[in-house]
Amino acid sequence: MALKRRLIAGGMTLAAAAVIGHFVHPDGSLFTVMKPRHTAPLAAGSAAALEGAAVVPLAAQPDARLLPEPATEWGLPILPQDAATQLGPPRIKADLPGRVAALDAGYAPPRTDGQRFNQYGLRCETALRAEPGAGGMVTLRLEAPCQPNARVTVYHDALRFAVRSDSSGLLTVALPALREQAAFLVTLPDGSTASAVAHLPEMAEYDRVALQWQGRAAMRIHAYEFGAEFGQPGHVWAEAPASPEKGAEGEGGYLVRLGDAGLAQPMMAEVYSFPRGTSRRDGAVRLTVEAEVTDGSCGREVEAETLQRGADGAMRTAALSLHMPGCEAVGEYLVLKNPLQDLKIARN
Amino acid sequence: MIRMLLGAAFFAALFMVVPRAATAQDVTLSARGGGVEVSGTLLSFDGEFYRVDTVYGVLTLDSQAVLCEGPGCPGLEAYVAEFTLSGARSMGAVLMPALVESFAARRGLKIRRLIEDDDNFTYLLSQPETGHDAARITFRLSTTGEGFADLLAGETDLVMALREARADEVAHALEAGLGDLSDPARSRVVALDALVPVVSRENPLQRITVGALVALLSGAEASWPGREDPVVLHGPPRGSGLEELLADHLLGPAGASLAQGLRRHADDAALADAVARDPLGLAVTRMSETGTARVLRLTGACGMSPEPTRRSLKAEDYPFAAPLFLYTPARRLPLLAREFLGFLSTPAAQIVVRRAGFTDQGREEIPLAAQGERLANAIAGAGPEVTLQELQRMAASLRGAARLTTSFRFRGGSTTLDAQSAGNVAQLARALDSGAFAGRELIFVGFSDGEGGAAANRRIARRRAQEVRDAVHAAAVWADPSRTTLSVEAFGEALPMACDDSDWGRRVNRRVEVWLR
Repeated sequence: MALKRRLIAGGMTLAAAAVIGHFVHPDGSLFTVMKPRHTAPLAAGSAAALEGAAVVPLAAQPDARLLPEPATEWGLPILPQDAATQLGPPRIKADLPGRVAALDAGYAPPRTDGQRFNQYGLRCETALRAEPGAGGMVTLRLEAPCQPNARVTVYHDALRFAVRSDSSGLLTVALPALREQAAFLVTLPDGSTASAVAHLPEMAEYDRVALQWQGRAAMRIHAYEFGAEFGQPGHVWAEAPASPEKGAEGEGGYLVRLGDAGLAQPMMAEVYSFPRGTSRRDGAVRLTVEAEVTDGSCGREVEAETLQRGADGAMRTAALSLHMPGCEAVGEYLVLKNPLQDLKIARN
Repeated sequence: MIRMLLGAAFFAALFMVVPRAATAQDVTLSARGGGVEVSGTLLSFDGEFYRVDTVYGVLTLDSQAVLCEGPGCPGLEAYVAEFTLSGARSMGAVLMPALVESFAARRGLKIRRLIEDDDNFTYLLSQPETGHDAARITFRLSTTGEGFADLLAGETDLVMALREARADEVAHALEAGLGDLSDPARSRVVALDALVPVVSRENPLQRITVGALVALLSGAEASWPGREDPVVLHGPPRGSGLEELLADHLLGPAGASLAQGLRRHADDAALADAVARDPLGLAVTRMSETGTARVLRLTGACGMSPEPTRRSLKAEDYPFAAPLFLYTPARRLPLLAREFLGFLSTPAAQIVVRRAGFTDQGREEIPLAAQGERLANAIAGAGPEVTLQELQRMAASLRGAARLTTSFRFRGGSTTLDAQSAGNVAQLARALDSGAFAGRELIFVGFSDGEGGAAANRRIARRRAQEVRDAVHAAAVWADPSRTTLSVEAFGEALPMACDDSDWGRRVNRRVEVWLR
């Protein structure tokens, strides 16, 4: 399995710290973090990173509720924010690199990227692995020891959703692959990314459709397999999702709901998969999209995207704006039969 | 002609084809090369042509050739093509949206679908670089009849229809200045479909004669053939295109009508699912929406049994074809709408049609080897009328050739081509124009039904084949006659495809096939 990693240049964590580095002092006065006591070369880097951070769109910014609290006691001198993770070689204030470089043309300053450590002494490296599983599923395992409880956005093909890593910066998420050669990318609040690929030959056996949306809209896919009615066996949805193992045995489809609805700006997705190749039955699987009319969505436009196979066989994304009924209809559902095309299954 | 154009202009001015901002404003249009200049009131702009009311009358000018000055000039960039499709739900739910999406994607346009509910939605197509809206395409899904009513009321530009326009709809449209809807130029076949009887998979019945099916549908017979179990009839919503098709193609010719007490379902999908769940259920539905139900094979009284397949639909060998139409009024639609209509006959659109679960109109070749059942029918039917020599002559003249799915059939008892066949003339002519058959021979082979004497039938069949050949030849204006040979052959009643004891059977047998060598 190929692993690719990329860590963003050193100033980025510092930049994030500087962006959020305005606190209100207990006595009520606005208390600004002291000018960082960095040496000259680093200060230049952090300024550049700050500029970069200023143009990050709001939606891409880390969820403020999830960021670790500053560990300093109020009233005490505040350490530079990155000091806790700066366990690498001590900084030499006398510009050693500059001076050595002047003596030796072949000299390169030591790389300090990737050599930071968290409070448990684990290297601050982001690693992603993708493991193929049953039913064309892939299990992603993310290790980002220096970014615990972080918002992690997962991208795969046109599919995307946001989840949260745990308190040690670990995340395990299982999702259906949308292609045989499946590539996965995750992005973290500090702007760093990690990617992984997996090969899923059995993926060709599956028909997949997906629905994804941002925000607090309550949306669902319902699949009614071979004439099943609501609540009967064969009605697959978030509350009766069936399992990929069942799919692998050709019993029927399964649904996977992705994303953490508890995040500040949720990015959610649902993927329904049907094992066309191993199906023991033929007929139609009816697919509907359901949007609940809530206090937040009534009378508004709700944006969503559908992913389904286009005429050329590749997954195609379609943007939808649902005009939600007025607020007198709160608690009801807008049910749409047409945005997702029914699957027609012919047994081999 | 002029009256019709003025009528169309009047309608265009009255209704929504005119961008509101451009109504009744003064413009001066001057030729880009200089010299000619006309002034007047801008009636409409469709993205390509200005229509201006001048002292010389209404003029239509190409926007590429003239410069527009004055307060009424629409911004070329700001022009948004707006048009509406209204009509059959079965066509507007999946097929037409898929075609719009594919068309827009090929154009590199960004697509957003604004959904009010399942029956009312709008596609917003925009330029990805500039963000300018290029088109707003509105869908209103109801029934075929409602679609035609919307056209008459000026509330739609295109009608999605499961059937051809009825005589009264044609008359009203003519009165309203929308042109003659019965003119083949006013309609096009978007996809092919057919009527098929369906039952639950638990039902042991495999075949049914058309007569027995009609008896069950009309309520004249209440239990399954050879059993005592009652039949439970399921049906489409009242007034739907499917119900009209049933009446026109199956029940009407037998003088019957749909039984009372039928269980009706909201749409074709619900109908198929309900039948699939009901072991005693029976319905006639469209082949594209049989869902989990099982298709019952139809047979004629003589035992011949045309099978509904992709090829037999393309060749119209299946008697209960139900092509899907798009009707256009006799007025200029926005440029993008015209380009969309042009897209519908491309190979790319045929793939979308197939993907959406319908039968496309892509031409296919059926080799002689794949026509065993037909040949068996021919041998079984040989006798004093069709002699062995005649069959041998047929075998010899078609040796080495393959039948194209493009076939020509006629409206009941006439020499007028039916709607699908009229489209086939244009399709075959286009293929000839493009040199698709260069260096090969196209044989137009006439066949007849078995009514009357064999010699007379052969003469009639040959005349029909000649007429079709001439029509194709006339339509293929660009084709090089030296590159493709167009010959004519006729074998009368020698190769029957259905029983001659019914109208539909005889209609299937009266045909002109096209063979390629």
